[in-house]
Formats: sequence, structure tokens, C-alpha cells
Amino acid sequence: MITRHLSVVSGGGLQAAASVGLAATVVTLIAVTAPASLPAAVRLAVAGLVLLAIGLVVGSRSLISLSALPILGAALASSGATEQTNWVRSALVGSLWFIASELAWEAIDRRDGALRPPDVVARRAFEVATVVALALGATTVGFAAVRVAPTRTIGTVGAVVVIGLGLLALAARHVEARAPGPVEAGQAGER
Amino acid sequence: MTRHGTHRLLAAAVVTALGALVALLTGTVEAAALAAPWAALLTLGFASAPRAPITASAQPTVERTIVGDRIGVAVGVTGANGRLTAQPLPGTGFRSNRPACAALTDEVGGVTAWMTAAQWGTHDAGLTDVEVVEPYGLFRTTGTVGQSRPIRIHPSPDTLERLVAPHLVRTTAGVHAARTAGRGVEYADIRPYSPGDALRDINWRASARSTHLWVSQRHPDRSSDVVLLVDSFLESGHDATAVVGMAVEASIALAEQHLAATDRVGLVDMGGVVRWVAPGTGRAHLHRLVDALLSTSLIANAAYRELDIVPPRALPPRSFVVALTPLLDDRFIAGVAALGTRGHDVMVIECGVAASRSTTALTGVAQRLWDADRQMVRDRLAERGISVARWNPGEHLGFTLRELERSRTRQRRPGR
Repeated sequence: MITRHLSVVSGGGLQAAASVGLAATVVTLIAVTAPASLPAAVRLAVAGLVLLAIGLVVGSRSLISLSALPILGAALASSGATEQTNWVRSALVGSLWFIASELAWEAIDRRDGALRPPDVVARRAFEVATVVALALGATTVGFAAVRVAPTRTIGTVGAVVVIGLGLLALAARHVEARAPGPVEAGQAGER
Repeated sequence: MTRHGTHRLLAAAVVTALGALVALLTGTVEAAALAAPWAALLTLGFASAPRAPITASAQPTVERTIVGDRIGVAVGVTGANGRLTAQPLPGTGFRSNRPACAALTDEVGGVTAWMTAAQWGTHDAGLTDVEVVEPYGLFRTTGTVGQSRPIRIHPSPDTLERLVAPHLVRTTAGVHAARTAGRGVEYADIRPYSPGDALRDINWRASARSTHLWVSQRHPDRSSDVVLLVDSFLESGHDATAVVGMAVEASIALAEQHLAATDRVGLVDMGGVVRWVAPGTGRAHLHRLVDALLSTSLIANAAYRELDIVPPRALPPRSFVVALTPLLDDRFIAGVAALGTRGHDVMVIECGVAASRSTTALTGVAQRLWDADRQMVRDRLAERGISVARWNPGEHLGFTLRELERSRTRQRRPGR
């Protein structure tokens, strides 16, 4: 079974390797930045990496989806240990894990055997880039808002989350209309 | 077409909800920052959802093809952007290829998905599994679309280098050398010069050795009426489908070659049902013959069938009859023998599956008796001037035709 699923090398192998590499980078980032007195954060991050790797090997998209939860827990655990808020690290961890998950999903999708023409690949890359850019943009807006009102109350955080999502919704419609068409992305060849 | 949420939708919803909840309850904004990409995915995915139902269609691009060739199914989708994946349902007679994938922009698009023709005959194709993944991959629409349509799959015929020359020819020009002398290419004989002979017919080499002039005689090139007689009687105890398949493949190869040689080619399918195609020429006629051959089916019938019911138009006098048969049904053997006595030029290609050689003494005796019985049938036909050659699976038809040619040269009947 393992051998069959490891045929990923011929279809989506590159994406799978990139996904695991990126996930390992995130775990390292969490381990480096987490307080030494908090090994639980690192353990949770490693659990997320293991879930993602198992999901890749057995071809389970759900396991890859679930792997975000331990990462969320690890980030929260390490942030709870310090009083200082680290927006940049959280946004970076979230974005990198999202890209790792997308790469893992793509690797599994490619095992179906369908050859992806260049315009499909370009479209997918554009979508991931759009999501990450919007997420980082919204985080920056939130960071700026908290700097103006630095008191971390439920109301402040709630307002930041709602404003961020609202901005995302507004930006989404604008960005979607500028998605690459067949002319920019190149023509799909006959296979 | 049915719309489903994908694993991405579930993941994005769960992570966004948990991140927002934790951020609101504990006041840790890091949770919101970490869940921001999934929230962005959720927002963008819903913002780009199609506004109208997705419609799709699928249609094969060809009506006929050859075994081993690919046939395309054109799939069109309207009402959605994103990624389209299509894979035709192979069904009987086809082998599925990799799914085809294309990007959908401006809410319209399409792709040609391929499958490989695996089995000759008339098979239905057109139904295609279609999947449309919307932008950002939160939703996908799947379904089976298209209408099934019959596709004629021709067997890949053997390329025949040369044909068996018929003994009987028509008066129209062709490529077969007639037995008579006249204008042609193939050298026949020489005779003394007589007034009126063309100067270009003078054989200068022969004349130089003689005191008289000699002229060359040549065989005129003529065409022939070729009738392919296919045995589709159902015989028990043998792989009847494989045997008829061989007969059909050989018939198509012969029909193509004889039509290319300007012969008129007809078909008589003699079995549970007797069908025929009157001799004709041209590409359209080849399609008619192939269609008739592809619809050849084995029908069990105990009724006595005679070739008398075939009209003279379908079986013209003095035609060259090529019978393709396993020589198992007495009705067919009697019909072939009758054709020989009616003045047709008949030869038989015996299509047969290889018999398994038994090791036990009892079955060994049975095998020898069976072989002797087969040989008696061949000898009876040979007594009527009908050449028989066996064509085994995997052998090139050209070898069998060459054997027939040698056999017919030995027993060529005079006076034609």
C-alpha cells in the first residue's frame, strides 16, 4: 500500500516534497521562537507535521486539513506563555502552513493522473498567492488597529477580526475579477 | 450535475471558526492572525461562486476509428470558472486514458478527453464523468454527461503485399493479368509477326536470332468481381467469437486491398442470418462493407441455409469467391462446394484457433481422428478445384495467401 501511494514521485512528487519541506520549516520556526519552558508547543507542531506527512502518504485530504489544528494550538500555546503579542510570527506560520496544505492537496490531486496544463497550474498558483496576500494584508491592518488601541480586550480583538474579514470580503470581489485568463496564462495543449 | 463542498471548505470553515472563537474568548490575536489565510480562502471562495447552474455536454468527435487509435470526447461546460476534469466512461470496446484537465475562464470552456479503441465492432461511447472545481477549490460540481452514440471500431488490418490473382476476370481494366493475350504489361508469349501488328510489339531480341520478325504477346490487365463469403454459423465447442473475429479482420484486409486494385468487392455473410452486400467499388463501398462486417453476429440457427437465396446481383456469375470459415458447419461447406461447381473461382481461408495438443493416449487418438476429418474436408474441396489454406491466430495473412497462390497455381484449371 505504501509503495502504491509512494508513486507520488511520478505524480505530484515535487509538490509533496515541497509541502513536507515547508511544514518542517514551520515546525522549526515554532521551535526556535517558542519559549524553552514550553515543550508542548513544539510537540503540537511536530504532531501537525506528522499528520500532514501521513495524510500525504495515505492520500487523505482530511488528515491534511486536520493538521492545521495542532499548529493553531502550538501557536496559541507559545503565545500564551509570553505577554508580548507576536503578530508577524503568527501570520507567517499561518500563511506557510496554508501553502504547505495547498501543496499537499495538489500532490494528492495529481495522483489522479490528470495532466495539468500550464494555465491550470498558473490559475492555482494565482489563487494561493491571492489568499496569502489578502491574509497578510488583513493581518497588517489588524496589527495597525491594535497599535492604535493596544489594550487587548475582547471588544478590540473582536473588532479587529470583523474588520479584517470585512476587508477580505471587499477585496475578494475585486481580486477575483482580475484572475488570469487564458491569454495571460498560456494556452492549454492537447494531450 | 451535483454541487458538493470539498475538503478545503471543511478545513477553512473549521480553522476560521476556531481561530475567531479562540481570539474572541481568550483575547489572543495570534489565533486570528494564524487563521487569516483560511478566512481569506473562505471569503474568496464564496465570492467567486457561480451565479447560475453549471451545464455540461459531451460528444464523441469521430464516428469510426481503428483498434488501438484514440477517440476524443469533446466536453463543454458553461456557467463556471475554475478547473474542468473530464474522463469518458470506457464501456465495452474502449480503454480509458488519463483524465483531461483544462482551465475555465469567462464561465465557458471545454476540453477533449481521450480513450482508446480496444475491441473491434460497434460500441457505444459518449458518456463522460465531468468534475468542475470552482475557483479556490471550496466547491466542486460532478456528474455524468453526454449521450451514448455508436462508434464503429475497425480492426487494424494486416497490410497485404500481394493478393491472390483470380482466375476469372471481367472485361474492365484492372491490375490482374488475364489468361488471354492482348494489351497489357505482363509478358505472355511470342508469335510470328503478321501485318497489322504494332512496331512497338516486335520482340527485337527474338527476331535477331531468327530470319523472321517476332512480336511479344502480353496479358491484358483486368479487374475482377470478388465476393467475400463469411461463415458466421455458431458452432459449439470452439471459440466461435474469436474465429469470426479472425474472419472479419481478414475480410476487411482483403476488401481494402481488392478495392485498391480496382476490383468490385461484395460480401455474403452466411450464418444464422444470411446477409449480403452487392459488389461495388470506391471508398464509400468499403465503408458499407466494413459496417456490414462489424455488425456480423453469431446467431444459432438449425435451419438449412442455401446460397440460392442470395440474388445474382450480390453473387455475380464467374466471380472470385473468398470463403473465410473454420470449416466446421456442413451447411457452409456444402455451400462453398456448390459455388465451385457453379463456375465460380473459389478459395477458402480456414480460420482456426490453435487446437490444444493432448498428452493422454485417448485424447491423442481423438485428436488424430479430428485432424483426419479436417483433412478429408479439405481434400473434398480440393477435388472440386477449391484451394484451402489454414490461417492460424497470430500469423500474417500474407503467408496464407501465398500458400493459396501456390496451391492454385498447381491446380489451375485450363480454358479460362
